[in-house]
Amino acid sequence: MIRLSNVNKIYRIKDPGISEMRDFYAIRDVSLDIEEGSIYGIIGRSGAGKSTLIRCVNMLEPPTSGQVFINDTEMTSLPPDALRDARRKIGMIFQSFNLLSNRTVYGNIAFPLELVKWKKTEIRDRVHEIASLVGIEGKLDQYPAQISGGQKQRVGIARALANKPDLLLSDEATSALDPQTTKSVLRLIRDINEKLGLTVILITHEMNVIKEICDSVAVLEDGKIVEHGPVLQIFTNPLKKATKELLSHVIQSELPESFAGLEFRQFPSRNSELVLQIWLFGSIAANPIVSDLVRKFDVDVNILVAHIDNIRSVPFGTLIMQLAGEDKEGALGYLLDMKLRVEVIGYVERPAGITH
Amino acid sequence: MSNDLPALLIKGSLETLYMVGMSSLFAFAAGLPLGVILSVTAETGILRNKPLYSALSSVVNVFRSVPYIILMVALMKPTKWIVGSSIGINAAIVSLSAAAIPFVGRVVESSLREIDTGIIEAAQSMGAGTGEIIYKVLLPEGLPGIIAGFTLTVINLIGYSAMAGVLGGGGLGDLAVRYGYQRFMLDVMVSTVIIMVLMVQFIQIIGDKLAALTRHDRNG
Repeated sequence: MIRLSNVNKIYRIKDPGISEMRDFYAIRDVSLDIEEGSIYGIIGRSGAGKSTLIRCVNMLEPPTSGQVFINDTEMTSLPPDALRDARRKIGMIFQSFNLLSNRTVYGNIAFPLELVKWKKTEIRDRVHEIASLVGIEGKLDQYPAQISGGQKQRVGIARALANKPDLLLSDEATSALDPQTTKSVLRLIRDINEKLGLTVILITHEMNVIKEICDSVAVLEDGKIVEHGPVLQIFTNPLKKATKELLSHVIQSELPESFAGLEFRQFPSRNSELVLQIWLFGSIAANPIVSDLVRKFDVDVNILVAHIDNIRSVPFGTLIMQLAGEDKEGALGYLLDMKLRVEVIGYVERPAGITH
Repeated sequence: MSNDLPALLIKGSLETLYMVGMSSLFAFAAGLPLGVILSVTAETGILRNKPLYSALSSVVNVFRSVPYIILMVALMKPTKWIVGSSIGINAAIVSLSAAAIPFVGRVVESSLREIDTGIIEAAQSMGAGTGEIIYKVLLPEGLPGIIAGFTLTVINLIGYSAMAGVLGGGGLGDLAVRYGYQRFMLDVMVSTVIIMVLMVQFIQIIGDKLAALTRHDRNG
C-alpha cells in the first residue's frame, strides 16, 4: 500500500507582477491511498503538477511537507543512504526514455544491477530473463540510437524491472510514442502488473491511457486532486469540470453542428423537443432502452450522438438523444427510474434540417 | 649547418613532443577532476554548491584570460621553485600545464553539461549515489566530448609550446626562432612549420577517430 498524506510541494518564485518572492504550490495538500497490485493513474493537463507529484513518491522532488509511505517505509524521513536503498526497489520509466546512450541495451538493463553489486553471471542471467519478458532479447547488443521508440521504452521498462521492484512509476511513458506503439507498451505494463503483481503509478495527460490500463484514477488540477475513484466511476459519472474536459477527448459528446446557436430552454413549450444525454455502463448498456422508450411512451427518439466503449471489458457509453412526441416527461421519468445518469440539456424548437 | 638539419629537427621535435606530452598529461590529470567538480557544483549539477563553483570558476577565468606568453613570464618565479629553473623545456611544462588545466576543466564541464538531465535523474531514481553517477553516467556519456576537447587542448599546446621556445623553452619553436628567424635559415623555418602541421593533423585525426569510436548516441 502506498499512501500520500497531506503532501505539499512549495517553490519560492519571483512574482513578475509585484517583483517579490512568493510561494507557489506545485502540489497542494494531496492525500492518496494506492492499493497494492493496482494500476493507479494520475491525470491532468500540462502544468497541473503531475510530474512533481510522481517525483514526490520516490523523493526525486522531496515534498515540502506531508508524508509519503511505501508499504511501511516513510520515504519522507529516510536518511540519504536508506533513501538510495529504497529507490533501488522502485522502478521508474520516462517519457524521453532516459537511456544511457553510450551503453548497449544490455548495459542499460544491467545498470541498476551493477548499482546493487550483483555478480556478473547473475546480471547476465537476469538481463536475458527480463529482456525476454519485455520482448527485446534480439536487441541486447544494439545502442539506444539504433532502436525504435517503442523498443527504447521496452528497454526502459526492462531496466526498471531488473532489480525486482515493488513499485513502478511511469512518467508519461507513452506520450512520445505513436498510438499503435502506445497500445503495445500499455499492454506490456498491464501484463507485468498481472504477472508480477507489481503496483504501478502512472501519470498522463491522456484519458485513453487511463481507460486502457488503470484501475483507479485521480484528476489533478493546479496541484490539487479534484476528483478520484475507480476508472469506471470517473468515466461514467465525472463530477468536476476538469474531469469532464479531459474526458471530452475520449468520449465524443458534443452536439452536432446543426444545434449551434439554438436556444435551449429549461421548460417545454408547445413545439419544443427534449434533448438529453444519458450515460450507460455495465449490464445496463445491454438493455434495449431506446425501443422501450418508443414503445412505452410513444415518443420519437432521434439519436444525435452515440459513443460506446469498454473499460477493461465493462461496456460503457453515452447517448445524446432528442425526444419528440406527447409523453416526453414520462420518458424522462422512465430513464431516471432506471438509475441511469441522465442530464437534461434542454428543450429546443426542432432545428431545421432534422426531420423524423 | 645544413648537414645537421635532420638532427636538429629530430631533437626539436622530440623536445616539443615531450613538452606537449607532459603538459597534456598534467592538464588531463588535473583538468578532468576540475571539470567534474565544476559541472557537479554548477547551478544544474547534482551537488549544487554556489560558493565553490563561483570560486573555481573565477580562478579558471583568470587563467584563461591571460595570454599564454604573459602567463609564461608571470609564472617564472613559481616555475623556478617547482623545477629549479625558469627556462628550458621542464620550465615550459609548468606554464603549459598552467594554461591547459583550466582549459581542459572548461571543456570537461561543457561536455558533461550537455548530458541530458533526464539520464541523471533516471540514475538517481535507480538509487545511484554521487560517485556512481560520476563514474557510470557522467564520464561515459561525456566521453566523446571530453576526447574531442582534449584533442583541441593538445593542439593548442603544440602552438603554445612554440611560444615557450622564445623563452629558451627548446623544441621546434626555439629552433624556428633561433635558426629560422635570427639566422635567416628558410629551410629550418619551413621544416619546423611542416612538422608542426603534420603533428596537428595527426593528433586531430586520432582524436576524431577516438571520439567517433566512443560515440553511440547517433544512428549507425
